[in-house]
Amino acid sequence: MLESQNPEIDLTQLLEKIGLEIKLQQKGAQGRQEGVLPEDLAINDPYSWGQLSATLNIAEQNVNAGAEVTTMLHYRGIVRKFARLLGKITIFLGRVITIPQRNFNSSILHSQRITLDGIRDMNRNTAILDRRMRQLEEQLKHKSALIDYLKTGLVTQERRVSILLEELRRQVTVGEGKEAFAASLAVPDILDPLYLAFENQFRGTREEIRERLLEYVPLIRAAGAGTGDREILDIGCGRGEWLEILRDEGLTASGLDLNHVLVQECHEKGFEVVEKDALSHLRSLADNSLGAITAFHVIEHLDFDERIALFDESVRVLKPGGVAFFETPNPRNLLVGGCNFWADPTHLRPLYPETQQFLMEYRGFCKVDLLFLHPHEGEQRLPEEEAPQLASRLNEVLSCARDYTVVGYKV
Amino acid sequence: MKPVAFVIPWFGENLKGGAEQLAWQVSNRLAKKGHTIEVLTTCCASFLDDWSTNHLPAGVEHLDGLVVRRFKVDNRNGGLFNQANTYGLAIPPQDLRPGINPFTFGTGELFVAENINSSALERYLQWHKKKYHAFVFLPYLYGVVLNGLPLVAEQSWLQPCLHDEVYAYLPEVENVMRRCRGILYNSLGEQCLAEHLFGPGIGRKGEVVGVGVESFDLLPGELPKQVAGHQLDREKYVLCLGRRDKTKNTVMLVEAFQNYRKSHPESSLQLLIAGPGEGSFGVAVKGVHDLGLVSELDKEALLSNCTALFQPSRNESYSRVIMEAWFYNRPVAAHGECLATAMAVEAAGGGWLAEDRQEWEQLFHSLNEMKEDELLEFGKRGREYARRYAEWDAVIDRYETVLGLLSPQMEQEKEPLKKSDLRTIHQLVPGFAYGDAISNQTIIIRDILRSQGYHSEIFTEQIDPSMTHEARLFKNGKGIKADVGLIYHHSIGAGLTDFVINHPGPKSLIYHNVTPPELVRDADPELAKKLEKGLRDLHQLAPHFPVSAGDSRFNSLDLEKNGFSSPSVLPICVAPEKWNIRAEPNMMTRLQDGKDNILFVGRLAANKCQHDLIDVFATYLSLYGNCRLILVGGFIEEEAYYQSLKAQVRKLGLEGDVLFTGKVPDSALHACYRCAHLFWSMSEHEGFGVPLIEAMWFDIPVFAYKSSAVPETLGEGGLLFTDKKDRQELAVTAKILMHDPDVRSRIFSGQKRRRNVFLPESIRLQLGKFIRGMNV
Repeated sequence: MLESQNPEIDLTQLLEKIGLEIKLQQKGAQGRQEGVLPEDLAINDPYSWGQLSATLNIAEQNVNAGAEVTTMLHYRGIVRKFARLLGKITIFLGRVITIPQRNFNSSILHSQRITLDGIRDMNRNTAILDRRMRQLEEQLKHKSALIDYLKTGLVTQERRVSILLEELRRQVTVGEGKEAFAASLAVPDILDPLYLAFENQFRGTREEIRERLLEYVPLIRAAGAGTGDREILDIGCGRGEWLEILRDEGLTASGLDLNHVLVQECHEKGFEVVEKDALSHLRSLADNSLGAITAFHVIEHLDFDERIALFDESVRVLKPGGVAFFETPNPRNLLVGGCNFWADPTHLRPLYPETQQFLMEYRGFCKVDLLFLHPHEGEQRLPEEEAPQLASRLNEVLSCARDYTVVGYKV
Repeated sequence: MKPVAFVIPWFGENLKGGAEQLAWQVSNRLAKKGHTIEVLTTCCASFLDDWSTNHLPAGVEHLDGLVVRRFKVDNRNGGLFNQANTYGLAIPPQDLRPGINPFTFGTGELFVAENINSSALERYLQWHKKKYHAFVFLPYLYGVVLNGLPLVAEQSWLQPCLHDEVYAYLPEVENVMRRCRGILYNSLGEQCLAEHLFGPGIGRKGEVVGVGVESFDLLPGELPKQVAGHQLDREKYVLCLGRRDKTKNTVMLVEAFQNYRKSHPESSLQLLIAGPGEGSFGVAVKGVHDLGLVSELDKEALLSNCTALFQPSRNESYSRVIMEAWFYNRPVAAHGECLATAMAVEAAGGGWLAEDRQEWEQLFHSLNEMKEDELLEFGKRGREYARRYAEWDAVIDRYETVLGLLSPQMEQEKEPLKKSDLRTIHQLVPGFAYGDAISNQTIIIRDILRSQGYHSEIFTEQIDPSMTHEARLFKNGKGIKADVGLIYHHSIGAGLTDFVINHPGPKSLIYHNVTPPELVRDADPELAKKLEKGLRDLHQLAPHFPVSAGDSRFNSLDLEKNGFSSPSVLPICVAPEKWNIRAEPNMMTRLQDGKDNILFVGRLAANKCQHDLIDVFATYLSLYGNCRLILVGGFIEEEAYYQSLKAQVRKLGLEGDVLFTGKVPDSALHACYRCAHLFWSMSEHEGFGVPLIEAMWFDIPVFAYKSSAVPETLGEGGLLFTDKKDRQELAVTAKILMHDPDVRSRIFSGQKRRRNVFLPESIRLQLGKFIRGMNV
C-alpha cells in the first residue's frame, strides 16, 4: 500500500522494517501491561503552572524598567522633543539606580525560572516514584496470594505423602533386611518441619529460652558435671540452646532428639547430637557413665510407663553424685494447666508436681526437690483494690510459676 | 570596478584566530590578483586586547596594494558585557534551541551594545556605501558586524565563521544572517549548521567558498627537529593545537589522556598541547606537555611529526590545522558533534570521530596500537581532500565568482519584444490575500513579466488590507484597456467571469482547481454552492480561452474535461526565500518541548480529511505517546466541520495533543515547519498542494495519501500510501519516518531533488512559452 517514485527508497526493505516494528509494538503492548512507565508523565495541575509562568512573563516584560524613554506619542512637535529630552535626562540620571535594579531583576527572574524547573523536575520524579510504589504494592499483594496458594498445596501434598508412606509401611512385610526399609518409612519425619515451625512460634525466641536456661547452670556446677568424664546428656535438646550455654560455660555435653530437622540444625552448629529416642539411647549406655541428665519439656510427652523407665535408666547411668532434672509445665498455674499446656498437640497430660517428686524418690533418686520457675509478669495480675482476698487468691494461681523442675541426685 | 571592503573588528598579519587570518589571507590574495580591496577595521589591536582602547592610530594605511581604514572604537562597559557573556556561557549547550533567544532579560542586548563597536565605522559605512561594490563582514558575533551590516545590507556578504555556541542563537545574529545579500561559508558543515539554526530561508544565498591553507612546501630537513626540548622524530605523541578556552574542550582531552595512561601505564604515547591563551595544562599529568604558544615553524614541525592531530573542540566552523595536518599526511580526530570538522573528517576519510571522554580515551588506545602504514593511509586520504578544498587558488576563484568580481556577466538573453507583441499583460484574480498560494503566484508572474519588459499589474475583486501595495482593486475593468493581454486565474466562482469573457484583447486562463462540490456538501452546503458555480463558470469560459494552463497535470485534465483545448501545465512557484523571516519565538519555544510534532497545513475542510488524520493520530499516540498534532489552517468557529473535529478530539481525549492554530501569519507557520518532524496528509483532494513542497524545503518527511494532484506534486519526494484503513500500519510507518535515520536521509535526498522543480527559475521558461502562446 506504500508507493514512492524515489529510486533510493527500497519499498520491500521499508515494509520489512514496518513489519518488525509492528511485532515489537505488540510485544511492547504486553510489556506495558506489566507496568512499564510511559516516557512522559503529565504534571498535575496545569492551571497553576500556567498561572505561574504567566506571572513570570509579566515580570520578564518589566525586567528592563528604566532603560528607555517612552515614545510620548501623545505630545506633538516641539513639546514632544522637549518631553523626550527631559525623559532622556531622567533616564540618564536614574541609571544610578536603574542599572543595579535591572541586574537585580534579571538575576532574580533567572533564579526563579531555575527554581521552577527544579520543582517541575521534582514533581515529575515524585510522580514516577508514586507509580513505582503502587506497582510494588500490587506485586506484593500478588505474591502473598501466591504464597497462600502454595501453602495450601504443600499441606495437601504432605498429607498425601504421609498416607502413602503409612500404606506402604503396612504393606512391607517384616522380614529379612526389610526392617530398615520399613523404619525409613516412618511417618513422623514428615511432621518434623511442622513441629519445628510450631516450636518456633510458640516456645519463644532463642534469646528468651537461653535466659531461662541460664538459671540451671549453678545446679550443674554444684554437681561437678560436664567436667572430666562426667559428661552431660540433654534429652530432647531441640535447637540446642542448652547445649550452647553448656559449651559457652566450657562444659562437655551431648544431646539427643527425635526431630530430624532439629538434629540437623544442631549438627550444623557443631553439637554432638544423636537422632534417637531417649530410652533406647539410655539403654545403650553403660552404668555410671554420665555426670548429669537434663530434659526440658520432655516428660509431658511420655506416658507413665515410659516416664518410669526414664527415671530408672537415668539412675542407672548417672555416676554417683550425678544430677538429673526434668522441666515441665506447671499445672498449678491456672492458665498453664487449663489452657497453655494444651497448646502443644503432642503433650499427653499435665504432670502433678508432687507426684513426679514421689516417683523419682521411689525409683532411686535422692534429695529430690521441686523448683518453681518463670512466674508470670505483673500485667497478668488482677488489681487487688476491690476484693483484696479474692484477688490475691486468684493472683496466686494465675501468676505463679509457669514451669517447674523436679531435681534428683544419685548417691 | 568599485572596491570590495572586508569589515572585521581586528586586522593584522600576525593576529591569531581563524577569522582574522582568513581576512588577512583573502584580502591580500584578492588584491594581488588585481582587485581593489579595502579593509575596514578598528584601532583595537586584537581579540585579546582591551576592546575599548585604541591601540593603533585611526586613518588610512596602505599595505602592499591593500587599503586599510582604521576607526576608533566606542567606549564600553566591559563589566556589563562580561556579565552578559557569563550569563550566556552558563547556559548548558543542550538547552539551546533554534529560534529561541537564550540571552533572556535583556542580556542579549547588553552583549551586543557593550561588544566591540565603532560608531565611526558605522557612520563611514552609511555615508560611503555607494563607493563600494560589496562588503564582506566577518566573523558573526561582534558588534562591528552585528550593528554595521544592517546599514549596508543590500551590498553585504556575511562570512559568519559560525559555531554551534550560545552566541549563534542571538536574534541579532539571525538578523544579519537574514538581511545580508549572500553568505560565505568555510565548510559544508557550517552551512548545514546555519540552515539548522535559521531554516531554509537563507539556504539559497549561501555558498561554500572554503578556506585555503598555506602549504609551506618545506623539505623535512628544513623544519626544526627539536621543539621545547622534545626530540620530535624520536617521540610518539598526539598533538592538540588551538586557542585554549572553555569551549575548546582541551580539558576533557587531557582528562581522557590521563585515564588512558592510568589504564595503560606501559604506554609511551604523549600528548603535546600548543596554542595561545591563559592557563596551563599538564603540569600534574604524566605524559602531557603544554608548550604554550609556539612559532609557525615549530607548529609545522610539530604537525609533520605527530602520530595524529586531535581536535576535540565542539565549536569550529573550519579547522585549518586539520587541513594542515592532512597536508603532512597525518591523520586527524575530530569531535563527532562539531558539524564542520566532523563532516570534513568523514568526507575525507582522513581520521576518526569521538564524542565523550570514554571515546577519546579509547581513541588514544587504538591509535597507540595502530601501525605507521595504517596511519599514513588515513593521512593520505586527508591530503587528497585538503588539496581539493583547501588550496588557495581554488578558494580565491570561488570568492571572485560569488562576489561578482569577474568581468560583468552576460545579461540573461532576453527575447526582444517584437513590434506586434503585447506591451502590457495584467492579471485578474478573484481574491488577493496575504500568504495565499495563488496570490503569491500572481506576484511572481508579475515580477517575471516586469523583468521581461512588460507593463504588468494585478487586479482583484477582494483584497486583504495588508496587501494593497501589491494589487489593485478591480472596479468594472477600470484601468484595463481593451487591447491589453489578460491572465485570468480561475478557482472559485467569481464575478469576474463576464468581464473576462467580454475582454476583446488576448487572454489566457490559469486554473487553480475547484474542489468537487460533493466532497464538501455534507460539511458545508454554502461552500458547495459556490464551488458548483465555479465549475459551471469554467464550462462557460472554455470557448473564450484558446490559451490555458492548469497548475498541475491533474488540473489541466480538469480543464480538458470542461472543453478547453490543449491546456498546458504551469506549476505554482514555491521558493524558500519566503521563509527568510524570523520564526515566531513563542511558537518555537512551545513546539520544541521534546515532543514530536506531526504537521498538516490546509484549510479545515472535509475534503482535506483532518478527521482521518486526528483518528490515525490517536492510534499513533496510543502506540508511542510523546507527540503532538498541529493542524494549521483557517476555519470559522461556527463551521460544522470544525465543530465536528473539536467533538472528535474531545471524544478521543486528545485536547492537549491536537493543536488547531487557525490561519496564522507566516512567522508562526515558519515556526510550525521548523519544529515539525513529519508532514502527514490524509487529504482526498489537493489541486496542487503547496504545503507539500514547503515541507520539502524544511526537510520534513512527507507522508501523504495518494489522491488528486498529490502524487504529481510530490514526485520522488515523500512517501505515498494508497490505503487509509490500516491505522496501525500507518502509525508505525509514521514513527519510522520520524525516527529512522536511514529512511529519513533517503527521503530527504529525494525531496531535495524534487523541490527544485518549483523554483521560479524553473517556472520562468514555462511561463515564457505560455506568454508566447498569447502573442500568437
